[in-house]
Parts: sequence; structure tokens; C-alpha cells
Amino acid sequence: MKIILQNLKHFITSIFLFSIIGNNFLVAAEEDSKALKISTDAYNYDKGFGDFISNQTMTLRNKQGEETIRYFRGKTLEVSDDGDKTLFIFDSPKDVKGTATLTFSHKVGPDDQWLYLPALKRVKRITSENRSGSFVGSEFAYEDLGSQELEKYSNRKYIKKEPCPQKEELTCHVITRVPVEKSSGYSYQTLWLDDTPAHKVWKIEYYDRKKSLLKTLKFGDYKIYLDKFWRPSTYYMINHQTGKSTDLLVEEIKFKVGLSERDFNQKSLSRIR
Amino acid sequence: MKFFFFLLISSYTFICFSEDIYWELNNEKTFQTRVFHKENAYEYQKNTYSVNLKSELFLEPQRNINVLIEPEYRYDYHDKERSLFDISQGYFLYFNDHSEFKIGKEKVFWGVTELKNLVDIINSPDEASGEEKSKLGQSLISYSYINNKFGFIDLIYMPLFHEPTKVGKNGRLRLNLPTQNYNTSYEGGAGRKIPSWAIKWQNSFRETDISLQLFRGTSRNGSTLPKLENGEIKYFAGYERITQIGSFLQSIFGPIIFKFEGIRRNGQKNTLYERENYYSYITGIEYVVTRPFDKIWDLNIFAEYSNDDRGSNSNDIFQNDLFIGTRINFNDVQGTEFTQMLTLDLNGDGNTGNLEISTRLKDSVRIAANYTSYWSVNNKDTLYSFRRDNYLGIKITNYF
Repeated sequence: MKIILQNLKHFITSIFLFSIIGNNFLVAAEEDSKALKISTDAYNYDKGFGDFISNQTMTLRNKQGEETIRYFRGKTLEVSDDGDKTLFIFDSPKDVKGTATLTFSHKVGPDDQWLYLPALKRVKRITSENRSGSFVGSEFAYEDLGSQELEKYSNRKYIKKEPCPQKEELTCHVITRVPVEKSSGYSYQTLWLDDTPAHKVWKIEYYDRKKSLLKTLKFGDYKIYLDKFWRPSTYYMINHQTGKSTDLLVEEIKFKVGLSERDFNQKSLSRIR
Repeated sequence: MKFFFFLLISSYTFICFSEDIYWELNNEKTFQTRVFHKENAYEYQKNTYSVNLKSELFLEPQRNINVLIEPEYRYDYHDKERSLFDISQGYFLYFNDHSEFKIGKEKVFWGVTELKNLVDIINSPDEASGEEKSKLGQSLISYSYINNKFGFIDLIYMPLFHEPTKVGKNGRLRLNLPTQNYNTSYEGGAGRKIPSWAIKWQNSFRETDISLQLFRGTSRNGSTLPKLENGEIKYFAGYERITQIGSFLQSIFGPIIFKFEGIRRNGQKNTLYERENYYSYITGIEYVVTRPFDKIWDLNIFAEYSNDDRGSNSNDIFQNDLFIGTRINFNDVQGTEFTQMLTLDLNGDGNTGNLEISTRLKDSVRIAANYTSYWSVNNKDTLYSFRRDNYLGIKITNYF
């Protein structure tokens, strides 16, 4: 969830990156300044949200249109000098109820991830190399839902300007970006961001490693929180190669509920409900 | 036990009258059967089936207080030693920003490796359950100090020792004679009512997790002692007082997780019924294959090596063994999973294999089928007693 939410805000600047990792310099240098500016502005606009919690319902739909419903919750803490911290707690199906994942995302380098297995009471370290794996059997991959730090993408290109998908009255900037991590399932992504100060994302196209269109994600029903932060209430992801789709409905978002570091460690993970 | 019943009933009643506290009630019932297709090796052994009921009541009367009560009942049709009623967990937990205080009965997991967890020492094993990692709740009082920089420190005081369950005479997967559940002997200051204690420190540094632990108390893995009773040889359980220092380390290098668990244990008896201090370790890797065969599957491969320096006097069946495992999660709506495990004894004392597939029949029902086998067993090894115990297991769990 968090990844998607942050699609709204985090697009890359490589300023941090090239000062830290030399060989990213070349990649960074190729970035298109217009695409980079829009991404950076969107990222900066969303700074200062602090923390939020949300309840989500996912509807998984197969080719035949049969539906399966999954419930889960998310908790996110903004970390100012590094990537955000995220918790997902799964409420259904019942055999995985209570399972939770904890992620410390980092601007540079792989994220730290832990999985809590309630039946064994085990907190298991997992590698973030599984980022292209399916999130609870849905059409969302872990990387679609993870923290979208600016540094996680490079090679941005400005393509064109056109009316926004699902929102014709707004003008959208169409840009492409390339995931930095080699284990990403995508060769590149195309995004439609509107020209308001928040640069809300209306659509993302994901291209697989062979550069064919894999999935399309559309965002709808944007709501404003704390008079500043825009979040969509619905996400509709379709996989063009399998014909399967997933709807994600955000039931409730609460900002600034007072979460802190203490809610995001291995101990708190093991008493999560 | 009566007290627990009282607590249980009063809590269940209590939640009906209070609307403003958060609570959850989760139940599961499981039917399990194991079909041993070879003729029994020892007298009285039978194929059997069992039913398991588990209920979990969780209460959060305040934001920083949790109460959990988890009674469990297991009924085995033939092996009455396997039947069990237990409050497998039941505790009161208070926590704040820097600490956690817990009193009651709990299951605690320590460790990082896959085949077995040498450092996992708080709970006694539920051996009769037939599941490798199943354990009994441990009565304890624990205090944890939590610091995001220095890690966690757990101090655990365990006033009682809960004797591991044993397979009875009608059960499979036991020694040539069943271990009796009376006349248990305690040595070196061990005892059912003699307290044990443990301390653990754990911290994470980006890709690396590390821990150090100390345990002093009654050994959770006993010895089997043959004794003459009325002119008949019978097996009895014996437990010693031990001291164990343990440590685990794990570190991530891209798709590879390197894992290590090591212990030094003093006071435990070996298979010659002599006390022998020893070192034991298990180390290996977990390898994550992304998008295997271009599918959305998760594929994890495990390779571990386990060693115990007592050699053939060790009562650990994995004293010099290689373990290869595979787990595939198909990421389908049914949550279908396939696992394969293979252990090879490098001394030629016996190998084990296990295949398991599980899937959801509907949102509240999960079915698992497994086939477990033992081969090339040497008659000096514990595994020799299981030589005819290859089996097909089926388990259906309903969550409600």
C-alpha cells in the first residue's frame, strides 16, 4: 500500500545517489531535468506527513471474473533522513491472519525486511530481493507497494503533456523512469502526473524485463487529508499478460496518529494485532 | 488448571459485557491422520488419527496491556499418551516505549536456521505432536529492555519445567519401547519445580542480525534411561541441569541469507548415559530465486550443515548431517505451497526425506498432505527405530 501511496510523492533525484555511489553518476547524468524536477517537486510536496494508518480491502479477480477478498492494514512512519518504515498486517484469509511484514526502506541500498509468523511466533528476516514477488497473491508486487524513495529510480525522461486519464480536465505530464534495483521485475515504468503542486499520479504502466506492457495501475477518488496530503481511495491494477486484476480500496486513512520508532521494531512486530 | 478454567470462563463472559475494549476470538479445529504403510516394527504400534481444537482469546483492555488465553485440546484415537489438554499460552503483557513485562505461559522462538534451532531453548518440545517444531507453553516471568540502537535484552525466569510429551505404546515414530510418563529422573539439580532462567541480547545492523544467549536450568531435551521394573525393561525419561551459551548470526548478501547458530552445552548426558560437555552448530544459506521459470512464484532454496562434536555419542539425530530444502509459494489465491526437505547423514547413519503440499480449499479451510520417509538407517542410530515408519500424512484445518 505504502508503495503505491508514495508513488504520489517520491520520484527520484539522483543528487544524493551520485554523491554516494559513483557509478550511478552516469545514470543520473542521463536524467531529463524536466522529468526530474516534476518528480522531485511531487516528492517534496508530500514531505511532513509524519505518520498514517489505513485499512484496505483487496479484491483479486481472475480471468473468469471470480473474486476473492483480502483484508489488511498498513502503518507508515516518515523518516526524514532515510526511507520510511512500514508495517502491513494481514487480517485474511484466516490461516495467515496475524502475519505481518516490517520494512525499513533505505534511500540507498536494499531495504531491511522482517516477516512475523504468528503460528511459530517467529520473526523471520527476509531479503528484499523478492520485491518483484506477488503481494498476497494479488497483481501488486511488493515493489509497487513499498516506499517510493526518489533514489529508487533513475533515468527519468519527459515524454509529453496530455489530458489526465480518468480526469480530462487536468493536464498530465507523462514521464518514464527506470528502477535502480536489478531485482526489480520492471525494465521501466510510465507515469501520468497532473500539473497541480501535488503532482498526483493518475496512472502507471509497468513494463516487464522484456519491455512489453505487463500491468496498468489507475488511481481514483483522490481525497485530501490535513488540508495538504492527497491520497487516492481506489487503485485498479490490471495484468495485461494474464487477464487478472486487483482492486484496492482504502477504507480509512488517519494521519498523525502518534506513531513512533517504538511501533516499528522486531519486538512490536511480534505483538502486533 | 481450575484457575485457568475460571480465568477462561470469566474472560469469555467479561467480553460479552464490555464493548469498549478491543478483543478477538480465533478458533481452529484440525483433523489429522498419518498412514504408515509398512508393517509396524514394534508391538502395539497402530495407525492412528487425531482431532485438535485450539481457541485463542486476545484482549486489549488498554493500549499498552495485552491479555492472551489459548487453550488447546488434542484427542488421539489410539495413542492416549498423545491426547492432551493444555493452556498452551496464557499471559498478561504490559509494555511501554522501552520495555515489556510479561507473566504467564508463552511460546518463545529463538533462532534463524531452517532445519532445527539449537538456540531455541525456552520451551519443551511437544514430541508427541509429531511435528518437528511443535512446543509446549512455558510458564515464565519476563522483562525485555528495548532500545532502537542497542537492541533488545530479554531476561526470563522460568519457575517450572514442563515435561515434553511422549508417544505412547500405540504410537508410531518411537523407540523400540515407549518412554514411560512416570518415574522421571532429574539429575544435577534439575527438577520439575526447580527454576530455570535465561538472558538474551539481540540486535540488527542493517543486513546483519546477531544474538548472544545464556540459559541455566533443566534441559528441554531429555535422555532415555532403560530401567528394570518388575523384571521388565522399561524406558524412562531423565533430565539434567544444564548451562548453555548460544549465539546466532545472520546476514544478507543480495539474494543470499547466510545463517549460523552455535551452542556450548554443559551437563547433558550422551547416548552412553555419561555427561559430556559439547559444542554444536548449524550453518548454511537460504537462497531466494526471483521469478523462477518466469512465474510469479517465490522459490527459496536452503542448504545447511549441522554438526555436534560428540559424534556418534550424540543424541541429536543431525550430528553430522547435510540438509537441502526447497520451498515454493505459488502466489495463487489458494496460497498453494510446496516444500521439500532432505537430510543426509554424512556418517551413513540414516537419511530423512519429506515432501509437503498445502493449499486452501476455501478461505477458512486449509489442507496439507505430506510424505515422510527414512532410509539407509544404521541399527546404532535413533533413526533405526523409525525404519518402518514412512508415512503419508493428511491434515485439514478449519478456522472459525
